[in-house]
Amino acid sequence: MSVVEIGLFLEPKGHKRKEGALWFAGVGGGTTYKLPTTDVDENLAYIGYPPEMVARMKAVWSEAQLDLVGRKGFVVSATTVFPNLSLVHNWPKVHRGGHVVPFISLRLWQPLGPTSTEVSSWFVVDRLAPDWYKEASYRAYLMSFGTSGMFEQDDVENWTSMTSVAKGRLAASVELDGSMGLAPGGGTLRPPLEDWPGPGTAHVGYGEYNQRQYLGLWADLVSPSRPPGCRPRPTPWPRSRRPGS
Amino acid sequence: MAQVEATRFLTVEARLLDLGRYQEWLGLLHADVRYRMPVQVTAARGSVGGLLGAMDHFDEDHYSLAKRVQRLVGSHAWTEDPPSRMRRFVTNVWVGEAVESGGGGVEWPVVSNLLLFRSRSDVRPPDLVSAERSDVLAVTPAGLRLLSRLITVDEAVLRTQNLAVFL
Repeated sequence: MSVVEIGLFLEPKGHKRKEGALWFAGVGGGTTYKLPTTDVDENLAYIGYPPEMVARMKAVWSEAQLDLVGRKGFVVSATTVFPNLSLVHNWPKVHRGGHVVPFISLRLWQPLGPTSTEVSSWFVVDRLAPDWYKEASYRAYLMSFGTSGMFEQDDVENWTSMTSVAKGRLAASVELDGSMGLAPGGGTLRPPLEDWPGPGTAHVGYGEYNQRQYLGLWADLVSPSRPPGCRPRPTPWPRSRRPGS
Repeated sequence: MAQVEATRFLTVEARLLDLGRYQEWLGLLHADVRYRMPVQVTAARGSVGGLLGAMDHFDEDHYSLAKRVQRLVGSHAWTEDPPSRMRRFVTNVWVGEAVESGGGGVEWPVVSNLLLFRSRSDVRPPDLVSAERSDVLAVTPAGLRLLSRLITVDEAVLRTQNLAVFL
């Protein structure tokens, strides 16, 4: 069974992810989940934050941040900052019959060569959080995204398989299709969210908006002929050169 | 006698894991099981090193082990589909003095060496994982049950593809 089917998460069908907003701002972006209410306290309690932590968050967050998690009901999940730093924020169930507990992991993607990447994974927790929370959050991290984490295992399996398949002749001769979310006649299938309180632009629904932005940043750096900041849409995936061509 | 029973327990346990009979393996665990595998770090002699006290590859209870098993026996655990071919070699079994537990029961401290051979797919080189396991086995009316396991792995950077295995 997948990590979703074994009931590790609150959102077994993944539709809360689809209803979430994909956002990108400057050199970073990511995914959000859609929370069930328009109240910041209820939403943070829903994903497992205890009241004392919620009180501290509300004391330091800006109006826009409160609006994002409260009235709009979006909470940051996976986020990547160009070129190679990511964070994961999720909330699995750590005890039988128990409620969910959130964790945050920072991840650094260090290339070791064209087909090899070392991932450094940190568990991050609020220094002022209660001890029970630190313990439970750590277990939530280990279960899902630690070195033995169930998500981590399946993700790494996919990435290593993709790397070996991409080495083949056929893979080198086809272009990556990164057009999800684009309309056939140009533009996007759905307009950007108008009242998005977060930074940058955001779209609801599945789409490769973020991947195009991220690869555009990369293409700017590796293509001397293209002026920085001038990015075509959609960003074409650079065709691999065959040896000798 | 304890030596024989503990060795038999570890042998049966290793065989169930080798065969991927994870539900039956769960049955050998005590309801209060604690299953830990701390991260090992390389450091100069005399400096702070060895086991990293605050960071683990595994720090599990019965619930989280059951969730891992539930996933492994299902159909979408890509890490183990196709499954690894595994062989566990359990040696150097040492059984300490029995101690009385709080509830009037008896527990045995048991230390063993484990070498796991793991082969996945056709051409990938096989992995070896070498570890010491420091266990506490609880003597129950139903037989021995694993109450706690501390896995001291002999590599700082594990060369096995993932930890979709139990050691």
